[in-house]
Amino acid sequence: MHGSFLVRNCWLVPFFPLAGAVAAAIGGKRLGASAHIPVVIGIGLAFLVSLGLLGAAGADSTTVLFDWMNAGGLRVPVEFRVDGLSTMMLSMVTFVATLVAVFAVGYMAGDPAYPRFFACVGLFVFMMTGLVLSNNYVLTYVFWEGVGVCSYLLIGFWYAKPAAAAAAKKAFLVNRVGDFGFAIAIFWLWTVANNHDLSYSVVLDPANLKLIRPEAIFGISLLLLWAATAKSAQVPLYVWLPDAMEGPTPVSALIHAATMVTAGVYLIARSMPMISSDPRVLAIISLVGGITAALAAAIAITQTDLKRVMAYSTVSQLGYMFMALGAGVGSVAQLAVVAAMFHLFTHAFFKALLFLSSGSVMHAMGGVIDMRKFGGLRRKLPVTCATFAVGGLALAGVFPFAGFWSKDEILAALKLASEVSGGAEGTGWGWVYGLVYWVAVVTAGLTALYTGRAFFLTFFGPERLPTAEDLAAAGHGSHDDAHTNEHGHGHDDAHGHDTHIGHESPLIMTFPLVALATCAVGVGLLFGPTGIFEGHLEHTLGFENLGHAEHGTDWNSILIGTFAALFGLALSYPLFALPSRIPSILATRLGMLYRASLNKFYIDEIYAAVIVAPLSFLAQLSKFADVYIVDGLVRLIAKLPRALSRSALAPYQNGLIQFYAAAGVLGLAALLAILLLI
Amino acid sequence: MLPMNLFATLAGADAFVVMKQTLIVLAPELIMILAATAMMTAGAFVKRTRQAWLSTTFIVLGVAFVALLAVSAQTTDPFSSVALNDSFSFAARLFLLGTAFILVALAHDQVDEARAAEFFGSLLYVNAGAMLVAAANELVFLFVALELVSIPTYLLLYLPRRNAATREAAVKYFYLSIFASAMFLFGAAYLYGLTGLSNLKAIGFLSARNLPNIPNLQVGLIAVMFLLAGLSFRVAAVPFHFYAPDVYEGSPTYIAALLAWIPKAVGFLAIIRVLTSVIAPGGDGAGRLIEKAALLAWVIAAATMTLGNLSALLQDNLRRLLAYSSIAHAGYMMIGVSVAFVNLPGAGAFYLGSESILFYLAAYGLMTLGVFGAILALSTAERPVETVDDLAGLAKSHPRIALAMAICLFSLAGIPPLAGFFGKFALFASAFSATRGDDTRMFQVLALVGVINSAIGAYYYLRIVVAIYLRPNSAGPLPRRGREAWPACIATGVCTALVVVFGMFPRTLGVPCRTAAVAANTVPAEPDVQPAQPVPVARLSAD
Repeated sequence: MHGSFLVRNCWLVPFFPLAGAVAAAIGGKRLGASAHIPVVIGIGLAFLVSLGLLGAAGADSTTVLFDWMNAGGLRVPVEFRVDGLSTMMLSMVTFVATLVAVFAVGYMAGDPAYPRFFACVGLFVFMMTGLVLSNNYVLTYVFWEGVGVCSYLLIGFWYAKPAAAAAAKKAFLVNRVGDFGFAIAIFWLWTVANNHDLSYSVVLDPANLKLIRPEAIFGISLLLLWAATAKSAQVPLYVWLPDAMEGPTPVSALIHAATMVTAGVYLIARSMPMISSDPRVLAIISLVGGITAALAAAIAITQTDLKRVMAYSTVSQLGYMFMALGAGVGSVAQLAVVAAMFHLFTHAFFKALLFLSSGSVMHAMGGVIDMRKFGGLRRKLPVTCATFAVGGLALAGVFPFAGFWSKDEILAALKLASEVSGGAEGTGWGWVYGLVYWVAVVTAGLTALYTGRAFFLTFFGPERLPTAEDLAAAGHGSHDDAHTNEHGHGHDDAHGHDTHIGHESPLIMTFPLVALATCAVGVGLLFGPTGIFEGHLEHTLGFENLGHAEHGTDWNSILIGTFAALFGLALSYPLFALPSRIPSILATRLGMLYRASLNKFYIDEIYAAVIVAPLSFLAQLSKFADVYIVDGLVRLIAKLPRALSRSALAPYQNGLIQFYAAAGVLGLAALLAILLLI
Repeated sequence: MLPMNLFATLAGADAFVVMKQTLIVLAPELIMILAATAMMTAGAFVKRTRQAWLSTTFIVLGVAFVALLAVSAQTTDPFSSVALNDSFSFAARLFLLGTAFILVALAHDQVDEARAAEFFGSLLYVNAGAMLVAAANELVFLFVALELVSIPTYLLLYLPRRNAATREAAVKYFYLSIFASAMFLFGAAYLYGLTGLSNLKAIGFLSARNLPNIPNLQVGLIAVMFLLAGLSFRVAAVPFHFYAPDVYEGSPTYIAALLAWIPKAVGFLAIIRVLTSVIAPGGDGAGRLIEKAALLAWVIAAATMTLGNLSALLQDNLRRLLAYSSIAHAGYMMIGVSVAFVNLPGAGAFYLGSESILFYLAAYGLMTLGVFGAILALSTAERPVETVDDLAGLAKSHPRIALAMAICLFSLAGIPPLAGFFGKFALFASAFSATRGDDTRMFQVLALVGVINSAIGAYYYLRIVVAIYLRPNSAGPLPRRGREAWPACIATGVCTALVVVFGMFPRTLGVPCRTAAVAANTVPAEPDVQPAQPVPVARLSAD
């Protein structure tokens, strides 16, 4: 309970954005176009406090605010934990959130629901920082749900648009499936936890972990993985994330690329002291990550919607993080967690950058985001082009950009894991890591290929701008009709604000791009090889007990990874930058594969047929039973008293006083007779 | 083993001391009656505004209130005095005096200037009579007190408005009320004939000692039946309920409010005084009579609440609906009467029945007066509030009155945490504590009937709430009455607030009710030479 002033007051981090959100929500009407001010200030202040907390992090700096629930065997305090992991996440979240919020000031300008947007963003940052700070599984769950709600609200921000409403619903429902796993995990954990205490400090204490039966740990870990696959968009629950791109682009950058979707990774990393004791779970985590990474990358190659390419790329990169987490066997454990978190960290910057750049393109193209509708924009949008290039290089993992360092660490961790697990004294899961290693390498090549494709299709080739019909369609798509129509032929962009098609975005949007681009170049080199990141993360609950050993630099993996990246990029240039018929030839030659990828391997259709259709049939059946059987019975029962009243009672209320008196006396006589006789 | 000194006491008590004690105890009622007489006499000669008569009435009530508090410590000899000042008497009179304030406040604009003196004088009589019923300890005195309620009520029915409907209502009430009084007298005569006593505590004493004269089962049963029949008319219980819908509908709203509360309170207080607390102390010795009396009340309770609730379903006229509602509530309280009779081995504390009646009566009075008060506060000559549809859209035009009315209606429907819910809870719980021999099913079934009736009853109360909150008024919003309705608004507000307070803190009402119920069912100790203080019988103090 020791700790500095900042640690004791770490609640300020979630508090500031919440206060900003409340101000924006309450004063929204009055603030109007300046509704962003309290939220941007709130998030900015939260970032400053987070920076201060970076220095104060210790493995057991916790602070209890108050007891939230205290009933029977369940005690849930609102308690926060300031350690290496949480402060790293806090700084990253609040930094990216600040830049995204600034970007959104330009991007969302003129939207009729401007204050609502910022209120939701502020609320999201409150929930996300709370999630990261929480020192308790139950409290984490609360914020876990909270970010889900904010995600729902923001995906469905343009709720009048059917696609957005459907995407929001889908995201929420798929996440509920994962939440269910999380809830069961917490219930189970409660039954086995020492003194039923669900604090991280207690649950993850090695002495207490030893007391839990291995089967329980296995089950709980799998349930936590279940929860994480929904929130972090892994197979089989990743399907909501690509659709979530219906939300405004800053939301995609903040929630669906940099922060919320990493909550699952965070949860697994946080629980690593427990999970790492079971090699089966680790292997499953790695495998899930590998399948997801490869599948998503394969889909990303053929998508034509720039934002969807980025969405699948996010899914794929999250898969990398799971691969790395799963590699945490034996002496590799610490390295693996550090690799995963480092990738999470660098990915946040370059993926937010890529999304915001895509947003900038979309902004300039009047809401059109289909790469077939525009091209050769490098001269029109020089800043966006440059920042996108930086982000793309980082994503592809090219030296010395941020992605290179973290991807390299992941490859190294996987290689080591396969060496440690394999062989005679290993756990027998070595082959999984060997397989996943090569999946990761291939996926790295695919990543570079689709990144290059997206970049070249957008910025190279002959200069093309969206036609009037495209603009009209896009305008109709992402806005309520009345708003678009008043400007006529789509001259306004999708966000109801007059820009001229094909012009670079204003400074308030390009500034965050440049800031993020700087990070995408620098954070890898600055924190990776210098050991700063690893050193900071060591101050995390239970991490010092994770297995670690000195590992040399894995030059093989570096070379293989770099080669894959460069090969992918090199391949993409002639295919997509130059006028070439090869892509279409390939598409016809590999017809089935191409169509499968384009249609996202029909996963949505399979889910619809296997899960949604039976459920909705069941729902129809229940509805039928409810409407015709249950309701019918209820109506019948409800009709009875009235009918009885009308037929049996009302006729005697005839208004005749002599009848009333006679009825009274006769009634009395009858009662008397009965009582005297019995 | 007739205790000879009992009769010695009855005969030999110092008549002057007894009279002095009684007059002191009855000081509040005497003040009200004297003032009412003065007002009605003066009204014929002096021309004063309605406002002045209203203020006078309030002042008289205030003085009576002070007097009631001042005499609260005075006791009387239970065997020789016609009036008691036990906890039952004090609590009931205090509550009745409180509702008298509310009734007068609601009446503030209900009569024209010319008849104001008679109107408010009658109101004072009615309330004084009701209080006397609560204090009564003697058959004749009780009858006089009941008539002191009834006769001014005939006047009130006729005074405010003189059209055909009112005339018909007044005549119906008049004849049937006289008829009911006759039945009461008949039952009282039998009771007297059976025991040779008219002092109620003394009859209870005899009953508790299982004395040779009673129970003569058949005669005792006739006495119980006719007393209960006469009082059933007052509370509007089956089969003497027929007048209620017609009279409520035909009378002005204010009179309907008066009829919904005062006769109901009077009837149940009298039932406790003259029936349950007299018969029940007989215990096992009076077993056959108790069983039959309980069965009688059982049948009346089940029939009354079912008829009231079912009939209310069809009503659109608010007063008619509330008339059936008041019948239904009489049925609920009859559950308590049935339980209050049962003082047999194995049954729970038998005063629980009386206690739950008292609790429910208080809750019923507040919520019913709250609903009527809201209607009165809304009604104007141009837009009288007559039907459920007239209340549509009230939440928009009169949000505060709408809220008060909704709370009172929810309470009538028995929804927690309001007073009506705890009243029903107390009644049903008392039914579950009662048994007849080894048979507990009889009362459990009664409680079940009560619960089903509550469910049916919720429909017509919530129907009004739906109209208030969810439907627009097709005839445009009701006019705002401005300031002149403030006494009615305050009275409604007080009723609503108490409904909420007694719901949130049911003990504040429950504890006085329990004390009162215990006092009412207390049989005085066998007198030595000096009249003794009332002490609970052994069975009671064990509980």
